[in-house]
Amino acid sequence: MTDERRDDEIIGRALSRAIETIDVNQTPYERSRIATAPARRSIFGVWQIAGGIVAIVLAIAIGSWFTRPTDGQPGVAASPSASAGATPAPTTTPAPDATATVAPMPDHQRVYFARDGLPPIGVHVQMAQLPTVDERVGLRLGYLLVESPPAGAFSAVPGRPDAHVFTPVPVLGTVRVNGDLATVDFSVDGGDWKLRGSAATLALLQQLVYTATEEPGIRRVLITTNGKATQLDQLVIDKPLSREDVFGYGLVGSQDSIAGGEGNDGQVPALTTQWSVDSVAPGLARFVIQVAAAPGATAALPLFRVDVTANDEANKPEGGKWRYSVTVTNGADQTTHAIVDRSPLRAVGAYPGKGDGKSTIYELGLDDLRPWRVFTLSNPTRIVLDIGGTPQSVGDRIAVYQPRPGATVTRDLQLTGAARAFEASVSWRLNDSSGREVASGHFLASLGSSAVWGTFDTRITIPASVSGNVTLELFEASAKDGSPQGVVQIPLAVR
Amino acid sequence: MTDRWREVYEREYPRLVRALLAIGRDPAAAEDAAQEAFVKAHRIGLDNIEKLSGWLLVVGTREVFRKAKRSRREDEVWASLPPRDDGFDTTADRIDLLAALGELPERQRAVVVARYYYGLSYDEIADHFDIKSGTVGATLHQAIERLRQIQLAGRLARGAMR
Repeated sequence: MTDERRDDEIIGRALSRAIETIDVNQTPYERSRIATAPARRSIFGVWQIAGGIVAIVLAIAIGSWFTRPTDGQPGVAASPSASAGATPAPTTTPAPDATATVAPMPDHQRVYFARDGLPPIGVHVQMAQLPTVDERVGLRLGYLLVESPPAGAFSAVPGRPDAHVFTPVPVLGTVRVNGDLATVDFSVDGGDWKLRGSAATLALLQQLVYTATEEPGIRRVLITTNGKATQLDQLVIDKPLSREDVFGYGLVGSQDSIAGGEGNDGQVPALTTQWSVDSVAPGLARFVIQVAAAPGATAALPLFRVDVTANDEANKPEGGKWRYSVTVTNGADQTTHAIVDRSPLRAVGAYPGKGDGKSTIYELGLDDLRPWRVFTLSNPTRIVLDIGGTPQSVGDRIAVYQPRPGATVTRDLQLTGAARAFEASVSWRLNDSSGREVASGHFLASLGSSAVWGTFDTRITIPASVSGNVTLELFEASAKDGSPQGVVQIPLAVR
Repeated sequence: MTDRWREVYEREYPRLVRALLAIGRDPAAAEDAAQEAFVKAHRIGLDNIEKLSGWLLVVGTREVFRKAKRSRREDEVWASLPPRDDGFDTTADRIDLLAALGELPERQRAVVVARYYYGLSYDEIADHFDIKSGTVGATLHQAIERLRQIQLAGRLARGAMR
């Protein structure tokens, strides 16, 4: 041992003795939280009773942080990106990673927590690598029962251990997987999950369904309680649920392809990309493709097409549950594949040169099929794919990004979002708390009722006579009789 | 089952609380985190955890850091430690060392406690604390060097005041 090492050992031992002499308040076993918890099986109780068939070895690395993705460090990278210019939100610019040789995979050591009025959010949990699908589904659910939610999220799982008072807890029983369906049974005293209200019920279902279906290849989950149909407050769950059944949006994203663009006469401009999550609006993933232009010139909008398909995770494990392909004809980007792992966006890839060698195909891996839209922006020329948003603010033809539901606003109110309405005309009206209309008007989006959406960024003035709680409604007035179509309602407080 | 848990608890708990107190410097948070670590272990099951004491330390440390982030209270806990009968200088050294430990970055604190108080190997520390195994030694040496400086400064300051 070198002198240096020996000196270190001496200080280390002195420190150890110092720690040993700290007076601590020793809570006796009888008053410890584990002794005062009501008797119950471990979360893997049934498996253990079954004779320890499943030996779950929780790697000692359970608390290690080495695969934990941190915020603002979106893993490896998309292409080096230029500024999005007037894009109405900051986007994250990942740095390229020269060391990646194998396509990185999304991190499936993940459980989900609920967010108020938003789809759930996935969080990394260090867990053991288990050999079978059943075990992996079970382990994620087991962790869901004990893990604490991150900031801005909550857990609707009753009786979590960080609660000060132990309430009866659901215990994970059996997990069976058959094809894309997982059947999960919980033991709950008297079958009562002790949940009240539709918000708590939805939150719990989101957490259970998203966490159980995090396993690649699993798309639906049947949740039973004590071997029977689960009853949550007023709701009886007697059939399998997919993520789209519980994500909280009023509609499911379309699987119809959308094509757009004008074509660029065979030029092959450079393309750069940026993406963001939760920054334009909560629950929204934005992917922007920017077309390079000669100095002082405006780039033509290349032809593009967006296709959405269920991803076959067995063959494409680097994607998510749903695959969005954006094909840009006559545009060049470098091959990249980046893991994002921020709900709902899991992976982004660019694959140039497929087919005629002049096109680039971008592929996005998504957690679920929430409603999405595509629109274009000019100066600089951009193709923007927006997936999701605040569920309450998203309809089939109008998606509002600002203001957000529940916001306190001033009388000079800015409205931003996207729409595809007849002749680009978007109507609005303001109802007071008794439902009486107190103001109305309309404005134009950048594009009418085409497959590609238009955008709007406008100001409306709320009359001085209006204050307190109001509901802002945006809708398309029917071309036939003026009746409101595709209404989006946003509760606001006027100050 | 209960007796096994009692045995484990009585063996591991005092050491865990001391370690977490040394790392986080907040007695209430240390106790809370230690209890939390036991609850998690209890739910996961004794048979499912390898090397329980290291596991408890890591889970407890994570709790302490998470709580510390929530309520950045850096109380001067050590100033209120009751002096012991082992002579002024020893007590002062002890308090200096613990206070110096508190000056280190969180990760270094945890690594030092894991190595010298829990006696974990370099490999185990690398596994637990997300450090490349080759750099555990360097991290420890850096931390100890810093401890030495802070402690020395404290001793000099005390000498100057006498």
